[in-house]
Amino acid sequence: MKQYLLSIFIFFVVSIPFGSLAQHRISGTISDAKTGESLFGATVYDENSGRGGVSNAFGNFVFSLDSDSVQLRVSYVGYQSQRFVLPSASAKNLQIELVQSINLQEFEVVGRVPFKQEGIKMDRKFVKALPQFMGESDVLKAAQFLPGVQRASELSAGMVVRGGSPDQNLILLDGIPVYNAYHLFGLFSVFNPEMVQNSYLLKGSFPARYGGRLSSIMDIQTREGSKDKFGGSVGIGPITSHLFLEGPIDSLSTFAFSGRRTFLDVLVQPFVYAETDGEGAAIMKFHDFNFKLNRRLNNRDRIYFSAYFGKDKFGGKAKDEDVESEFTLGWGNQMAMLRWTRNYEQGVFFNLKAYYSDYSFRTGFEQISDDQELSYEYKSGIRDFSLNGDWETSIASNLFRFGGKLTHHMFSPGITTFEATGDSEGEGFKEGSTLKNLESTLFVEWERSLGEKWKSNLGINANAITAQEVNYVYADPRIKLDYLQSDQSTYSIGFSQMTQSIHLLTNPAISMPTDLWMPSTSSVKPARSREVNITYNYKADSYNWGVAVYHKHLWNVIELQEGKSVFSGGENWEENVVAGTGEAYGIELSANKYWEKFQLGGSVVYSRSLRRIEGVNNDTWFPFKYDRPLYVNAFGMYEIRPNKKFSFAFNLSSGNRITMAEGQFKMPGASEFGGGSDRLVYSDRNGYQFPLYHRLDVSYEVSKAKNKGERTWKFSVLNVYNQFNPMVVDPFQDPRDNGETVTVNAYSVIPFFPSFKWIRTF
Amino acid sequence: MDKNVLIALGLGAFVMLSCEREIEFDKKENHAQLTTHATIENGEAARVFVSAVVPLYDQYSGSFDSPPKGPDVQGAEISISNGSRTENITIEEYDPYNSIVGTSVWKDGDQLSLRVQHPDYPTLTGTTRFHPKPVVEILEVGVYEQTEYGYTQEFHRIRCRVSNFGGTNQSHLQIKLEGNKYGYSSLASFDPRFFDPYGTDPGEEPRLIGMGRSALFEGNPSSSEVDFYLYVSSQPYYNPETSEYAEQDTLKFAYSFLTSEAYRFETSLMLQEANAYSLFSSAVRIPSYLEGGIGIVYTTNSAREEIVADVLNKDWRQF
Repeated sequence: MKQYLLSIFIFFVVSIPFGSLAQHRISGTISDAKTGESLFGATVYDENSGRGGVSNAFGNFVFSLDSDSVQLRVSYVGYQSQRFVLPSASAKNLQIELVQSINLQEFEVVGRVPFKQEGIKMDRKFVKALPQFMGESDVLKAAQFLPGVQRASELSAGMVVRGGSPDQNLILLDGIPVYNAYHLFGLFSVFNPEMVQNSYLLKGSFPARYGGRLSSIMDIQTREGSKDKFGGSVGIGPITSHLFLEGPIDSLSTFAFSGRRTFLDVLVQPFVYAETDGEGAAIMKFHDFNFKLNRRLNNRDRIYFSAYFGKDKFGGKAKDEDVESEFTLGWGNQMAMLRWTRNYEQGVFFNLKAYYSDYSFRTGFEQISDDQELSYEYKSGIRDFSLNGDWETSIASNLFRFGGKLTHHMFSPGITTFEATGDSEGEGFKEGSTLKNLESTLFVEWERSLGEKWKSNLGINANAITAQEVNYVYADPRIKLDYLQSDQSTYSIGFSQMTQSIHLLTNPAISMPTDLWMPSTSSVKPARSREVNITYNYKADSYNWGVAVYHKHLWNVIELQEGKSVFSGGENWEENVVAGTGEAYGIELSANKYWEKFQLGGSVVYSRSLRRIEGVNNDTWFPFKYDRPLYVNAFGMYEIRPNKKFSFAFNLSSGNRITMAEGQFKMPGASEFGGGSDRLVYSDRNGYQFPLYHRLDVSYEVSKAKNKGERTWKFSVLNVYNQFNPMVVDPFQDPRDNGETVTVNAYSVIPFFPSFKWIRTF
Repeated sequence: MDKNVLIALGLGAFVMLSCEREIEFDKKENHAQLTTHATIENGEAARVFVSAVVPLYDQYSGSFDSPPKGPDVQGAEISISNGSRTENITIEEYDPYNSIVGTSVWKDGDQLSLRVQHPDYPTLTGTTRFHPKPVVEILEVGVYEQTEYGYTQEFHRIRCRVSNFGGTNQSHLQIKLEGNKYGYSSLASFDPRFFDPYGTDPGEEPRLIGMGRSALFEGNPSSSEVDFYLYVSSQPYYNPETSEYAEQDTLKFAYSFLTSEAYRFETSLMLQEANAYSLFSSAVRIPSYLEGGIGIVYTTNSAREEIVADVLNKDWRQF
């Protein structure tokens, strides 16, 4: 199969020179006329020839033409379309500025569906319009309303995409991988919605420029900052408050900054103080900061610097007579990136970036008394240094992207430090070590329009992984074919093979920040997947609908052995890991309808996700823990008046999977192996499901214009009719056997839950 | 009372009540099965424990006046055969704590089959055979002191070499402390092959894992040497018969190989118990190596060693 695909690819590449060589490359940059921010995913095409392209994350586009003149049409969701007629020879490095539309129907008016950014776009307005948990809009929670995407658990912002696990999603913030994208044990993502410009989700048919994960790519771009004026917003909610600032630094530079902090610690403190007679204190805080600076050096060169710093910290302090003690548990990401982009006159776009991404988890305690000071710390994490370079250009009506990436991963799988002074002087120790590996990636992506009806995107993503004692080399082919049946309807078929060289060791029952990112080794191979999907989309002026079917085969996916947790094993972690295969398949139906003041959307998905892991479930197939065959979403947004908006979101899905005890038996009391007590007979792994899950959330937003900016109140109610949606079984309550049935105590986590947020823009 | 306060209280109660509830599931499988744990030591009679799968948590409820009844396996017939000779045992009364010990002696070279029958359950069958006896050489016996967090503990350290351990037959090693008269003893090891159901890293030194009187070592080792430790009290042994403190005790160890099936069965039993209330790990299923029910039959062919421990003088000698 691999050789066959490679042959097709080589044939097409070799055939390029024989195609009609274009005389003109049409290139340029598309940006917002007011703020100057680059527009990602804008469509540009020549109305005469039907050829065109899509702007990339930096607003750049390029395509080739034979004709001497070009009649360009440029469009972007939420912006007024523009037309240009100009000689092809002068259509180079065009600086196109689009003006925001006041029309509420914010859908694309361009019928050339193939010229569309890969993946599903979620803009800020969509994310902000959905009902919010504790007043916080969340890009990852909004993604859970896209067809094929499920929530990992009731509260979590973690995503399950087409039967994969949450760690199989590559979450990129301005191109930097984020290893733990969650605050408050998964309640919120780390992405401040004020700072997010766009986010794209790819759940299949991955272009060759993406790799490193098996199931999805979430590409999030932050705002560049307005060139127009200094502005921003402040927001106050029951859990978090934020500050967002943006503006020009000079005529060539802009910045954007956001900061968020919780006030949970302040709210909880009086209760803890009263409960402990003033001798205790709670530590409950998280914060994050984003900063982005971009400078236009000239019409061709730009540099960007972006940084993210976020941290969660929980724990408590206590004072008992002469002893002060503190327990803490925390995690956080630190990321920084420097990027240089250049638009060559010849219509070549170049992007060079270097980044640093660090995720760390720490827990520990300190005890200070008159006699001694003791401190214990356990930490784990992953740290990346990476250098990427890629090019994009058009040759003879073909669009090429190619580039490379070199990433140095450093893993800290549980380093324990004990320090002691005073009476315990000399008893300190440090255990654990770091692991390193090097990952090199090369990719070539070739996009070609075949007449007016067909478009292909072929590519190869090649990976070389240098683990401790072994090298892994893979070449993953990617194929996508689009067929434009009419201006409204499009068919596409895609095939992707993916490789994931790093693994997340996660507890089978509950995912926690303690989960460990681990490298591939000689015994734990990189995880792989092969996905094929067929999609049909129909897009009319006021509605669209689509259907997709997919099948995904996974192998070398790992899981902890039965009875093991991430806390088991230490440096011998590989011995606790078992590997196996997985199958996922499904059909996704989705539709959206737009009226003047009302938008309604939804999806119905039937899917299955199964696993077969050595040593688990007697080596037979079992449902994956995120296997929820039925998943239905519906959402609507209604503009009551220009300053008053109402929205709702409804989800209905199969319940969470659990493994249940169905009986018990006794082992002999004389057994040397802990006998004399009862043993349980369990069902198949994840053999039971909680009852059907359903929840309705609503949101109401009212704004008022002020002297400068506006003030907005957002009110949300989650689980309006207080549906009890069980999430976990209480492990400390024994099940009750009623003969034909078993009764367990179960917990739900989101009851009827009102919240608000106050936001003031300026 | 203010209407708003009432509404707030009502909402609060609504929220509080919604967090925990009972959920009822229809059982998917009926596990009306016999369960058996049968072990046969070379040169000894079979020890067979027969029970049955019963509903969850209701059959052992009893009081001092009416002891737990347990599953009704009374009348079950156990049959052990080597092809030429068969021993039949009938369970007259169910004992939830002790195995039934047969009278026939079974020896190396026998291929044994087990059958357990009861009119209310499917018949349970299985086979086993004897494996080679390990050759054990005690390399070192001594006392090891460990100081951690200001406390010092003493271990009796035994280092031995077991030939054929983990060879091509993938054998696993079981070490049992069969007899010491006094004091409390618990086997432990730093050997990474040592099975620890609690997931403590055995490679970290020094760490003691209380394991009771049996230790299991996973097969396929890189070394045939096995280190294990015996936790001992630093006080002289108390002799309850004479109400005096004894200075010496004799420790008897039995070394035997286990098949992969026996190792997995026994470790699953331990893992399930250790993780009964774990929030983090998955449920541990007990595998079955018998047809028609749950359980295992396996043999041991033990090599035995004795060590005399003189606790006062910290002298430990191979007998």
